[in-house]
Amino acid sequence: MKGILCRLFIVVCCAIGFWGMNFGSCQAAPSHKVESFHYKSYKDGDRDWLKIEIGLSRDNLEYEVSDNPDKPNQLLVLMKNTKPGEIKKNIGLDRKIARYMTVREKNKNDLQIMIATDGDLATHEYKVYTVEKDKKTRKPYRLVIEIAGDEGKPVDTKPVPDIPEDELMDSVAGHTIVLDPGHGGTDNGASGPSLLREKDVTLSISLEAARILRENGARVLMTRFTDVDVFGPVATDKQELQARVDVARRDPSVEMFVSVHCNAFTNSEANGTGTYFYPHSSRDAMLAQYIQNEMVHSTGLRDRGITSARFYVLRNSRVPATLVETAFITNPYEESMLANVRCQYTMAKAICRGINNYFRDTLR
Amino acid sequence: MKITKILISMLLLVAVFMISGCNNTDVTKQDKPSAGVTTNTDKPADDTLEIKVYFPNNDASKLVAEKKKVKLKGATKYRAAMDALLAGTDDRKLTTVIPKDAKVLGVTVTGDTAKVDFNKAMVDKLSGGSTGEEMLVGSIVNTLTEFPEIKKVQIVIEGRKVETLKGHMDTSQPITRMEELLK
Repeated sequence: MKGILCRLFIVVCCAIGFWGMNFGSCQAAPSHKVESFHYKSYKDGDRDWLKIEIGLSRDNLEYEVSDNPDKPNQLLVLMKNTKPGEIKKNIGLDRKIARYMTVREKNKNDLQIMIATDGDLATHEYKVYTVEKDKKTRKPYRLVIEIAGDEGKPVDTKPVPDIPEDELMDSVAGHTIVLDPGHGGTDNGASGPSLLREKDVTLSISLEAARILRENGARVLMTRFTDVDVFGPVATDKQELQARVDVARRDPSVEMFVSVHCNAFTNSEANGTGTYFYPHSSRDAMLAQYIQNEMVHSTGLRDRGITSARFYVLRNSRVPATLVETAFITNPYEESMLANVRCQYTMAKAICRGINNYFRDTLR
Repeated sequence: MKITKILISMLLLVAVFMISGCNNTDVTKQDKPSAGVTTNTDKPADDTLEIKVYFPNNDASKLVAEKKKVKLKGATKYRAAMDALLAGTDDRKLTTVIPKDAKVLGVTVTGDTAKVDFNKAMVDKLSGGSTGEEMLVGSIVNTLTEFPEIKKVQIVIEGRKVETLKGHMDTSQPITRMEELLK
Protein backbone atom coordinates (compact mmCIF):
# COMPACT_ATOMS: atom_id res chain seq x y z
CA MET A 1 0.00 0.00 0.00
CA LYS A 2 2.75 2.37 1.01
CA GLY A 3 4.52 1.53 -2.25
CA ILE A 4 1.50 2.53 -4.30
CA LEU A 5 1.10 5.81 -2.46
CA CYS A 6 4.77 6.56 -2.94
CA ARG A 7 4.52 5.85 -6.65
CA LEU A 8 1.41 7.99 -6.94
CA PHE A 9 3.23 10.84 -5.27
CA ILE A 10 6.06 10.60 -7.79
CA VAL A 11 3.63 10.51 -10.70
CA VAL A 12 1.80 13.58 -9.40
CA CYS A 13 5.09 15.41 -8.95
CA CYS A 14 6.11 14.52 -12.50
CA ALA A 15 2.79 15.77 -13.82
CA ILE A 16 3.14 19.04 -11.98
CA GLY A 17 6.66 19.32 -13.27
CA PHE A 18 5.50 18.83 -16.86
CA TRP A 19 2.85 21.45 -16.31
CA GLY A 20 5.42 23.91 -15.06
CA MET A 21 7.67 23.24 -18.05
CA ASN A 22 4.80 23.86 -20.40
CA PHE A 23 4.35 27.26 -18.86
CA GLY A 24 8.03 27.94 -19.05
CA SER A 25 8.20 27.21 -22.77
CA CYS A 26 5.58 29.91 -23.49
CA GLN A 27 8.06 32.55 -22.48
CA ALA A 28 10.20 33.56 -25.44
CA ALA A 29 13.81 34.70 -25.67
CA PRO A 30 14.77 38.16 -24.27
CA SER A 31 12.38 40.73 -25.55
CA HIS A 32 12.09 44.50 -25.71
CA LYS A 33 10.06 46.18 -23.05
CA VAL A 34 8.48 49.61 -23.22
CA GLU A 35 10.04 51.69 -20.47
CA SER A 36 8.95 55.20 -21.25
CA PHE A 37 6.55 57.13 -23.42
CA HIS A 38 6.10 60.75 -24.23
CA TYR A 39 5.05 63.04 -27.01
CA LYS A 40 5.48 66.69 -27.86
CA SER A 41 4.37 69.12 -30.52
CA TYR A 42 6.99 71.28 -32.18
CA LYS A 43 7.32 73.62 -35.12
CA ASP A 44 9.76 73.14 -37.98
CA GLY A 45 9.64 76.47 -39.81
CA ASP A 46 5.94 76.93 -40.32
CA ARG A 47 5.12 73.24 -40.13
CA ASP A 48 3.65 71.58 -37.07
CA TRP A 49 4.93 68.19 -36.03
CA LEU A 50 3.95 65.69 -33.41
CA LYS A 51 6.84 63.62 -32.07
CA ILE A 52 6.13 60.41 -30.15
CA GLU A 53 9.03 58.66 -28.42
CA ILE A 54 8.76 55.16 -27.01
CA GLY A 55 11.73 54.23 -24.81
CA LEU A 56 12.79 50.55 -24.88
CA SER A 57 14.87 48.30 -22.66
CA ARG A 58 17.01 46.87 -25.51
CA ASP A 59 18.25 47.99 -28.93
CA ASN A 60 17.83 46.38 -32.37
CA LEU A 61 14.08 46.64 -32.51
CA GLU A 62 12.44 45.16 -35.57
CA TYR A 63 9.32 46.98 -36.63
CA GLU A 64 6.84 47.24 -39.47
CA VAL A 65 4.98 50.37 -40.48
CA SER A 66 1.69 50.09 -42.33
CA ASP A 67 -1.62 51.81 -42.87
CA ASN A 68 -5.07 50.35 -42.57
CA PRO A 69 -6.94 50.34 -45.92
CA ASP A 70 -10.29 50.11 -44.12
CA LYS A 71 -9.55 52.94 -41.70
CA PRO A 72 -7.76 55.68 -43.66
CA ASN A 73 -6.97 57.69 -40.52
CA GLN A 74 -4.85 55.00 -38.85
CA LEU A 75 -1.09 54.58 -38.78
CA LEU A 76 -0.02 51.11 -37.60
CA VAL A 77 3.41 50.26 -36.21
CA LEU A 78 4.10 46.64 -35.27
CA MET A 79 6.94 46.37 -32.75
CA LYS A 80 8.31 42.83 -32.92
CA ASN A 81 9.13 40.87 -29.79
CA THR A 82 8.12 43.69 -27.47
CA LYS A 83 6.34 43.67 -24.12
CA PRO A 84 4.06 46.54 -23.15
CA GLY A 85 5.58 47.19 -19.71
CA GLU A 86 3.62 49.86 -17.88
CA ILE A 87 2.38 51.72 -20.97
CA LYS A 88 -1.35 52.51 -21.01
CA LYS A 89 -3.59 50.86 -23.59
CA ASN A 90 -5.21 54.08 -24.72
CA ILE A 91 -3.31 57.34 -24.78
CA GLY A 92 -4.76 60.70 -25.77
CA LEU A 93 -2.52 62.72 -28.08
CA ASP A 94 -2.43 66.40 -29.06
CA ARG A 95 -5.82 66.20 -30.89
CA LYS A 96 -4.61 68.49 -33.64
CA ILE A 97 -2.39 66.13 -35.60
CA ALA A 98 -3.32 62.86 -33.94
CA ARG A 99 -6.20 62.16 -31.65
CA TYR A 100 -5.15 59.08 -29.73
CA MET A 101 -2.96 56.04 -29.73
CA THR A 102 -3.78 52.48 -28.73
CA VAL A 103 -1.35 49.78 -27.68
CA ARG A 104 -2.30 46.12 -28.15
CA GLU A 105 -0.37 42.90 -27.74
CA LYS A 106 -0.33 40.94 -30.97
CA ASN A 107 0.94 37.54 -32.18
CA LYS A 108 1.79 36.68 -28.54
CA ASN A 109 5.11 38.53 -28.51
CA ASP A 110 4.56 41.66 -30.57
CA LEU A 111 3.10 45.03 -29.77
CA GLN A 112 0.78 46.80 -32.17
CA ILE A 113 0.66 50.59 -31.95
CA MET A 114 -2.24 52.35 -33.66
CA ILE A 115 -2.25 56.10 -34.02
CA ALA A 116 -5.51 57.74 -35.06
CA THR A 117 -4.65 60.86 -37.03
CA ASP A 118 -6.95 63.81 -37.44
CA GLY A 119 -8.29 63.34 -40.95
CA ASP A 120 -6.80 60.79 -43.35
CA LEU A 121 -3.26 59.61 -42.82
CA ALA A 122 -2.60 60.45 -46.46
CA THR A 123 -2.84 64.15 -45.63
CA HIS A 124 0.03 63.82 -43.13
CA GLU A 125 3.72 63.36 -43.74
CA TYR A 126 5.17 60.87 -41.25
CA LYS A 127 8.40 59.09 -40.43
CA VAL A 128 9.26 56.22 -38.12
CA TYR A 129 12.82 55.50 -36.97
CA THR A 130 14.87 54.33 -34.01
CA VAL A 131 17.43 56.35 -32.06
CA GLU A 132 20.35 54.86 -30.15
CA LYS A 133 20.67 55.25 -26.39
CA ASP A 134 22.12 58.62 -25.38
CA LYS A 135 24.17 58.45 -22.21
CA LYS A 136 24.60 62.22 -21.92
CA THR A 137 20.92 63.00 -21.88
CA ARG A 138 20.13 59.66 -20.23
CA LYS A 139 17.67 58.81 -22.98
CA PRO A 140 17.10 55.12 -23.65
CA TYR A 141 17.11 53.41 -27.02
CA ARG A 142 13.82 54.49 -28.52
CA LEU A 143 11.38 54.21 -31.36
CA VAL A 144 10.36 57.61 -32.71
CA ILE A 145 7.21 58.33 -34.69
CA GLU A 146 6.87 61.79 -36.17
CA ILE A 147 3.72 62.99 -37.87
CA ALA A 148 3.34 66.34 -39.60
CA GLY A 149 0.18 68.39 -39.33
CA ASP A 150 -0.19 68.53 -43.06
CA GLU A 151 1.83 68.73 -46.22
CA GLY A 152 3.54 72.05 -45.90
CA LYS A 153 0.56 73.85 -44.44
CA PRO A 154 0.50 74.67 -40.72
CA VAL A 155 -2.43 73.33 -38.72
CA ASP A 156 -5.01 75.88 -37.70
CA THR A 157 -4.84 75.94 -33.95
CA LYS A 158 -8.45 76.99 -33.69
CA PRO A 159 -10.49 76.57 -36.83
CA VAL A 160 -13.06 79.32 -36.40
CA PRO A 161 -16.39 78.35 -37.89
CA ASP A 162 -17.28 80.53 -40.85
CA ILE A 163 -19.63 83.25 -39.76
CA PRO A 164 -21.65 83.17 -43.02
CA GLU A 165 -22.83 79.68 -42.04
CA ASP A 166 -24.67 81.17 -39.09
CA GLU A 167 -28.21 81.58 -40.13
CA LEU A 168 -30.73 84.17 -39.14
CA MET A 169 -32.80 83.05 -36.17
CA ASP A 170 -35.39 85.73 -35.84
CA SER A 171 -37.38 84.52 -32.85
CA VAL A 172 -34.79 84.58 -30.07
CA ALA A 173 -34.22 88.35 -30.01
CA GLY A 174 -35.11 89.92 -26.67
CA HIS A 175 -35.38 86.57 -24.84
CA THR A 176 -33.22 85.53 -21.90
CA ILE A 177 -31.81 82.01 -21.93
CA VAL A 178 -29.61 80.16 -19.44
CA LEU A 179 -27.09 77.75 -20.95
CA ASP A 180 -25.60 75.18 -18.60
CA PRO A 181 -22.42 73.39 -19.80
CA GLY A 182 -22.61 70.08 -17.90
CA HIS A 183 -19.98 69.23 -15.26
CA GLY A 184 -16.72 71.23 -15.02
CA GLY A 185 -13.83 71.93 -12.67
CA THR A 186 -13.26 69.01 -10.29
CA ASP A 187 -16.03 67.07 -12.04
CA ASN A 188 -14.84 65.81 -15.43
CA GLY A 189 -18.15 64.19 -16.24
CA ALA A 190 -17.86 61.06 -18.36
CA SER A 191 -14.85 60.39 -20.57
CA GLY A 192 -14.38 58.54 -23.84
CA PRO A 193 -12.10 55.72 -25.02
CA SER A 194 -9.49 58.25 -26.16
CA LEU A 195 -9.92 60.18 -22.92
CA LEU A 196 -11.95 63.07 -24.30
CA ARG A 197 -13.61 64.74 -21.30
CA GLU A 198 -17.29 65.56 -21.19
CA LYS A 199 -16.76 68.85 -19.35
CA ASP A 200 -14.58 70.22 -22.18
CA VAL A 201 -17.03 69.27 -24.92
CA THR A 202 -20.07 70.65 -23.11
CA LEU A 203 -18.27 73.95 -22.57
CA SER A 204 -17.20 74.29 -26.21
CA ILE A 205 -20.70 73.55 -27.51
CA SER A 206 -22.34 75.90 -24.98
CA LEU A 207 -19.95 78.78 -25.70
CA GLU A 208 -20.61 78.38 -29.40
CA ALA A 209 -24.38 78.26 -28.84
CA ALA A 210 -24.20 81.37 -26.64
CA ARG A 211 -22.35 83.22 -29.37
CA ILE A 212 -24.94 82.29 -32.02
CA LEU A 213 -27.88 83.23 -29.77
CA ARG A 214 -26.32 86.57 -28.83
CA GLU A 215 -25.62 87.37 -32.47
CA ASN A 216 -29.33 86.93 -33.05
CA GLY A 217 -30.24 89.33 -30.27
CA ALA A 218 -30.88 86.99 -27.33
CA ARG A 219 -29.56 87.59 -23.83
CA VAL A 220 -27.61 84.54 -22.65
CA LEU A 221 -26.54 83.72 -19.10
CA MET A 222 -24.11 80.87 -18.62
CA THR A 223 -23.66 78.79 -15.47
CA ARG A 224 -19.93 78.69 -16.26
CA PHE A 225 -17.65 80.19 -18.92
CA THR A 226 -14.50 78.25 -18.13
CA ASP A 227 -13.45 74.94 -16.66
CA VAL A 228 -14.72 75.50 -13.11
CA ASP A 229 -17.17 74.10 -10.59
CA VAL A 230 -20.22 76.36 -10.50
CA PHE A 231 -20.56 76.31 -6.72
CA GLY A 232 -16.96 75.62 -5.78
CA PRO A 233 -14.45 72.77 -5.81
CA VAL A 234 -15.55 71.20 -2.51
CA ALA A 235 -19.31 71.41 -3.01
CA THR A 236 -21.73 68.59 -2.41
CA ASP A 237 -23.63 67.36 -5.46
CA LYS A 238 -26.69 69.21 -4.25
CA GLN A 239 -24.85 72.52 -3.83
CA GLU A 240 -23.27 72.16 -7.25
CA LEU A 241 -26.53 71.34 -9.05
CA GLN A 242 -28.51 73.92 -7.07
CA ALA A 243 -25.93 76.57 -7.99
CA ARG A 244 -26.70 75.87 -11.65
CA VAL A 245 -30.45 76.10 -11.04
CA ASP A 246 -29.93 79.34 -9.10
CA VAL A 247 -28.32 81.09 -12.06
CA ALA A 248 -31.77 80.89 -13.68
CA ARG A 249 -33.69 81.67 -10.49
CA ARG A 250 -31.74 84.80 -9.63
CA ASP A 251 -32.86 86.63 -12.75
CA PRO A 252 -36.63 86.99 -13.21
CA SER A 253 -36.30 87.65 -16.93
CA VAL A 254 -34.94 84.13 -17.60
CA GLU A 255 -37.37 82.17 -19.79
CA MET A 256 -35.52 78.97 -20.44
CA PHE A 257 -32.83 76.64 -19.04
CA VAL A 258 -30.83 74.43 -21.41
CA SER A 259 -28.22 72.03 -20.03
CA VAL A 260 -25.69 70.54 -22.45
CA HIS A 261 -24.20 67.09 -21.74
CA CYS A 262 -22.55 64.09 -23.38
CA ASN A 263 -24.11 60.71 -22.81
CA ALA A 264 -22.25 57.67 -21.47
CA PHE A 265 -22.88 53.98 -21.01
CA THR A 266 -20.88 50.98 -19.83
CA ASN A 267 -21.22 49.35 -23.24
CA SER A 268 -19.55 51.32 -26.05
CA GLU A 269 -22.23 50.10 -28.50
CA ALA A 270 -24.76 52.58 -27.10
CA ASN A 271 -25.15 55.53 -29.48
CA GLY A 272 -27.39 58.36 -30.57
CA THR A 273 -28.66 61.72 -29.45
CA GLY A 274 -31.41 62.25 -26.88
CA THR A 275 -33.07 65.07 -24.96
CA TYR A 276 -34.48 64.98 -21.44
CA PHE A 277 -37.19 67.02 -19.71
CA TYR A 278 -39.20 67.02 -16.50
CA PRO A 279 -42.90 67.55 -17.14
CA HIS A 280 -43.70 70.67 -15.11
CA SER A 281 -45.92 71.72 -18.00
CA SER A 282 -46.36 70.78 -21.63
CA ARG A 283 -43.76 73.38 -22.54
CA ASP A 284 -40.90 71.28 -21.17
CA ALA A 285 -41.61 68.41 -23.56
CA MET A 286 -42.15 70.86 -26.38
CA LEU A 287 -38.80 72.53 -25.86
CA ALA A 288 -37.10 69.13 -25.65
CA GLN A 289 -38.78 67.97 -28.85
CA TYR A 290 -37.86 71.11 -30.80
CA ILE A 291 -34.19 70.72 -29.87
CA GLN A 292 -34.25 66.96 -30.45
CA ASN A 293 -35.68 67.42 -33.97
CA GLU A 294 -32.89 69.81 -34.91
CA MET A 295 -30.17 67.66 -33.32
CA VAL A 296 -31.27 64.57 -35.25
CA HIS A 297 -31.67 66.54 -38.47
CA SER A 298 -28.25 68.20 -38.38
CA THR A 299 -26.06 65.48 -36.85
CA GLY A 300 -27.59 62.44 -38.53
CA LEU A 301 -27.19 60.59 -35.24
CA ARG A 302 -29.66 57.93 -34.18
CA ASP A 303 -32.80 59.47 -32.67
CA ARG A 304 -33.14 58.30 -29.05
CA GLY A 305 -36.14 60.56 -28.67
CA ILE A 306 -37.16 62.76 -25.77
CA THR A 307 -37.38 61.25 -22.30
CA SER A 308 -39.06 62.41 -19.15
CA ALA A 309 -36.61 62.02 -16.27
CA ARG A 310 -36.16 63.07 -12.67
CA PHE A 311 -33.03 65.10 -13.27
CA TYR A 312 -32.11 67.56 -10.55
CA VAL A 313 -31.53 70.64 -12.70
CA LEU A 314 -34.78 69.98 -14.60
CA ARG A 315 -37.02 69.21 -11.62
CA ASN A 316 -35.87 72.25 -9.73
CA SER A 317 -36.15 74.67 -12.61
CA ARG A 318 -38.99 77.21 -12.57
CA VAL A 319 -38.81 77.86 -16.30
CA PRO A 320 -39.09 75.38 -19.18
CA ALA A 321 -35.91 73.32 -18.95
CA THR A 322 -34.23 70.65 -20.95
CA LEU A 323 -31.05 68.58 -20.88
CA VAL A 324 -29.47 67.69 -24.22
CA GLU A 325 -27.42 64.51 -24.32
CA THR A 326 -25.62 65.43 -27.54
CA ALA A 327 -23.98 62.05 -28.29
CA PHE A 328 -22.29 59.12 -26.54
CA ILE A 329 -18.76 60.00 -25.50
CA THR A 330 -18.26 56.31 -24.68
CA ASN A 331 -18.88 55.32 -28.30
CA PRO A 332 -15.61 55.68 -30.29
CA TYR A 333 -17.28 57.10 -33.41
CA GLU A 334 -19.40 59.58 -31.51
CA GLU A 335 -16.45 60.52 -29.31
CA SER A 336 -14.50 61.56 -32.41
CA MET A 337 -17.52 63.62 -33.49
CA LEU A 338 -17.69 65.32 -30.10
CA ALA A 339 -13.97 66.11 -30.28
CA ASN A 340 -14.33 67.72 -33.69
CA VAL A 341 -14.76 71.50 -33.69
CA ARG A 342 -17.02 71.46 -36.74
CA CYS A 343 -19.31 68.86 -35.19
CA GLN A 344 -19.42 70.89 -31.99
CA TYR A 345 -20.48 73.88 -34.06
CA THR A 346 -23.14 71.83 -35.85
CA MET A 347 -24.55 70.69 -32.51
CA ALA A 348 -24.48 74.22 -31.07
CA LYS A 349 -26.34 75.50 -34.10
CA ALA A 350 -28.91 72.71 -33.84
CA ILE A 351 -29.60 73.56 -30.19
CA CYS A 352 -30.02 77.25 -31.10
CA ARG A 353 -32.36 76.41 -33.95
CA GLY A 354 -34.48 74.30 -31.59
CA ILE A 355 -34.64 77.19 -29.11
CA ASN A 356 -35.55 79.58 -31.90
CA ASN A 357 -38.32 77.30 -33.16
CA TYR A 358 -39.71 76.98 -29.64
CA PHE A 359 -39.98 80.77 -29.23
CA ARG A 360 -41.37 81.11 -32.75
CA ASP A 361 -44.19 78.63 -32.18
CA THR A 362 -45.08 79.17 -28.53
CA LEU A 363 -44.94 82.90 -28.08
CA ARG A 364 -46.48 84.25 -31.24
CA MET B 1 0.52 -6.41 -9.77
CA LYS B 2 3.10 -4.26 -11.47
CA ILE B 3 0.85 -3.80 -14.49
CA THR B 4 -2.03 -2.56 -12.34
CA LYS B 5 0.27 -0.12 -10.59
CA ILE B 6 1.45 1.28 -13.92
CA LEU B 7 -2.13 1.47 -15.12
CA ILE B 8 -3.18 3.37 -12.01
CA SER B 9 -0.22 5.73 -12.42
CA MET B 10 -1.13 6.46 -16.03
CA LEU B 11 -4.77 7.06 -15.18
CA LEU B 12 -3.71 9.47 -12.46
CA LEU B 13 -1.43 11.33 -14.83
CA VAL B 14 -4.32 11.79 -17.24
CA ALA B 15 -6.59 12.84 -14.38
CA VAL B 16 -4.10 15.42 -13.15
CA PHE B 17 -3.85 16.94 -16.61
CA MET B 18 -7.59 17.05 -16.97
CA ILE B 19 -8.07 18.70 -13.61
CA SER B 20 -5.42 21.33 -14.22
CA GLY B 21 -6.90 21.96 -17.68
CA CYS B 22 -10.31 22.50 -16.14
CA ASN B 23 -8.93 24.87 -13.58
CA ASN B 24 -7.38 26.97 -16.27
CA THR B 25 -10.54 27.58 -18.22
CA ASP B 26 -13.08 27.72 -15.42
CA VAL B 27 -11.25 30.01 -13.08
CA THR B 28 -13.29 33.06 -13.98
CA LYS B 29 -16.57 31.33 -13.42
CA GLN B 30 -15.63 29.78 -10.13
CA ASP B 31 -14.10 33.00 -8.87
CA LYS B 32 -17.43 34.71 -8.98
CA PRO B 33 -19.46 33.41 -6.08
CA SER B 34 -22.47 35.60 -6.36
CA ALA B 35 -23.94 35.37 -2.91
CA GLY B 36 -26.47 32.67 -3.32
CA VAL B 37 -27.16 33.15 -7.01
CA THR B 38 -27.23 30.06 -9.06
CA THR B 39 -28.36 29.18 -12.53
CA ASN B 40 -28.84 25.53 -11.61
CA THR B 41 -32.33 24.55 -12.48
CA ASP B 42 -32.09 20.93 -11.44
CA LYS B 43 -31.97 21.44 -7.68
CA PRO B 44 -35.10 23.23 -6.55
CA ALA B 45 -34.54 23.47 -2.81
CA ASP B 46 -37.08 24.85 -0.37
CA ASP B 47 -35.39 28.23 -0.11
CA THR B 48 -34.92 28.68 -3.87
CA LEU B 49 -36.87 31.43 -5.52
CA GLU B 50 -37.26 32.45 -9.12
CA ILE B 51 -37.01 36.21 -9.55
CA LYS B 52 -36.79 38.68 -12.40
CA VAL B 53 -33.68 40.81 -12.55
CA TYR B 54 -33.44 43.73 -14.98
CA PHE B 55 -30.42 44.48 -17.17
CA PRO B 56 -30.09 47.08 -19.95
CA ASN B 57 -29.60 45.85 -23.50
CA ASN B 58 -26.27 46.66 -25.16
CA ASP B 59 -27.39 49.89 -26.81
CA ALA B 60 -29.07 51.00 -23.59
CA SER B 61 -32.45 51.55 -25.23
CA LYS B 62 -34.38 49.49 -22.65
CA LEU B 63 -34.23 47.19 -19.66
CA VAL B 64 -34.80 43.49 -20.21
CA ALA B 65 -35.91 41.06 -17.49
CA GLU B 66 -33.76 37.99 -16.93
CA LYS B 67 -35.15 35.15 -14.84
CA LYS B 68 -32.76 33.97 -12.19
CA LYS B 69 -33.04 31.29 -9.52
CA VAL B 70 -31.67 32.52 -6.25
CA LYS B 71 -31.00 30.66 -3.05
CA LEU B 72 -32.00 32.66 -0.06
CA LYS B 73 -29.50 31.11 2.38
CA GLY B 74 -31.02 33.04 5.22
CA ALA B 75 -31.03 36.38 3.39
CA THR B 76 -34.24 38.18 2.53
CA LYS B 77 -35.55 37.82 -1.01
CA TYR B 78 -34.94 41.54 -1.54
CA ARG B 79 -31.29 41.16 -0.63
CA ALA B 80 -31.00 38.08 -2.81
CA ALA B 81 -32.52 40.00 -5.73
CA MET B 82 -29.99 42.82 -5.32
CA ASP B 83 -27.12 40.36 -5.10
CA ALA B 84 -28.36 38.70 -8.27
CA LEU B 85 -28.41 42.10 -9.99
CA LEU B 86 -24.87 42.89 -8.85
CA ALA B 87 -23.67 39.46 -9.97
CA GLY B 88 -24.39 40.64 -13.52
CA THR B 89 -25.57 38.82 -16.59
CA ASP B 90 -23.97 36.30 -18.94
CA ASP B 91 -26.37 37.21 -21.72
CA ARG B 92 -24.34 38.71 -24.57
CA LYS B 93 -27.21 40.95 -25.59
CA LEU B 94 -27.33 42.55 -22.16
CA THR B 95 -24.87 44.75 -20.27
CA THR B 96 -23.93 44.74 -16.61
CA VAL B 97 -24.07 48.42 -15.61
CA ILE B 98 -23.39 48.08 -11.91
CA PRO B 99 -19.69 48.76 -11.30
CA LYS B 100 -17.64 45.68 -10.41
CA ASP B 101 -16.61 46.87 -6.95
CA ALA B 102 -20.10 47.94 -5.93
CA LYS B 103 -21.58 46.07 -2.97
CA VAL B 104 -24.99 45.90 -1.34
CA LEU B 105 -24.66 46.90 2.29
CA GLY B 106 -28.27 46.16 3.13
CA VAL B 107 -31.88 46.21 2.04
CA THR B 108 -34.64 47.23 4.47
CA VAL B 109 -38.34 47.43 3.75
CA THR B 110 -40.70 49.86 5.48
CA GLY B 111 -44.30 49.79 4.29
CA ASP B 112 -44.20 49.82 0.50
CA THR B 113 -40.72 51.34 0.30
CA ALA B 114 -37.48 49.42 0.01
CA LYS B 115 -34.31 51.20 1.09
CA VAL B 116 -31.20 49.77 -0.52
CA ASP B 117 -27.78 50.77 0.70
CA PHE B 118 -24.68 50.52 -1.53
CA ASN B 119 -21.02 51.22 -0.89
CA LYS B 120 -19.31 54.25 -2.45
CA ALA B 121 -17.88 52.27 -5.37
CA MET B 122 -21.39 52.35 -6.83
CA VAL B 123 -20.99 56.09 -7.41
CA ASP B 124 -17.24 56.39 -7.90
CA LYS B 125 -16.89 53.67 -10.50
CA LEU B 126 -20.00 54.52 -12.54
CA SER B 127 -19.06 55.82 -15.98
CA GLY B 128 -21.69 58.58 -15.89
CA GLY B 129 -24.03 59.95 -18.53
CA SER B 130 -27.78 60.31 -18.31
CA THR B 131 -28.37 56.96 -19.94
CA GLY B 132 -25.85 55.11 -17.77
CA GLU B 133 -27.34 56.60 -14.63
CA GLU B 134 -30.90 56.02 -15.76
CA MET B 135 -30.24 52.36 -16.59
CA LEU B 136 -28.44 51.79 -13.31
CA VAL B 137 -31.21 53.31 -11.20
CA GLY B 138 -33.87 51.68 -13.39
CA SER B 139 -32.37 48.22 -13.01
CA ILE B 140 -32.32 48.56 -9.21
CA VAL B 141 -35.79 50.06 -8.90
CA ASN B 142 -37.47 47.74 -11.39
CA THR B 143 -35.86 44.61 -9.94
CA LEU B 144 -37.12 45.47 -6.44
CA THR B 145 -40.57 46.64 -7.55
CA GLU B 146 -40.96 43.26 -9.26
CA PHE B 147 -42.08 42.18 -5.75
CA PRO B 148 -45.72 43.35 -5.66
CA GLU B 149 -45.48 44.67 -2.08
CA ILE B 150 -42.67 47.09 -3.07
CA LYS B 151 -43.88 50.26 -4.75
CA LYS B 152 -40.93 52.62 -4.24
CA VAL B 153 -37.18 52.35 -3.82
CA GLN B 154 -34.88 54.70 -1.95
CA ILE B 155 -31.23 54.40 -2.94
CA VAL B 156 -28.71 55.36 -0.25
CA ILE B 157 -24.92 55.31 -0.30
CA GLU B 158 -23.21 54.12 2.90
CA GLY B 159 -26.30 54.94 4.92
CA ARG B 160 -26.82 58.44 3.54
CA LYS B 161 -29.39 59.80 1.15
CA VAL B 162 -27.74 61.26 -1.95
CA GLU B 163 -29.11 63.99 -4.20
CA THR B 164 -27.70 62.31 -7.26
CA LEU B 165 -25.42 59.41 -8.18
CA LYS B 166 -23.61 61.02 -11.10
CA GLY B 167 -24.98 64.51 -11.51
CA HIS B 168 -28.21 64.00 -13.40
CA MET B 169 -30.93 62.00 -11.71
CA ASP B 170 -32.47 63.19 -8.45
CA THR B 171 -32.19 60.26 -6.03
CA SER B 172 -33.05 62.15 -2.85
CA GLN B 173 -36.59 60.71 -2.80
CA PRO B 174 -37.89 57.15 -3.20
CA ILE B 175 -38.37 56.30 -6.87
CA THR B 176 -41.36 54.47 -8.27
CA ARG B 177 -41.14 51.76 -10.93
CA MET B 178 -39.66 53.09 -14.16
CA GLU B 179 -42.07 51.52 -16.66
CA GLU B 180 -40.81 53.76 -19.46
CA LEU B 181 -37.52 51.86 -19.55
CA LEU B 182 -39.26 48.57 -20.29
CA LYS B 183 -40.76 49.53 -23.63
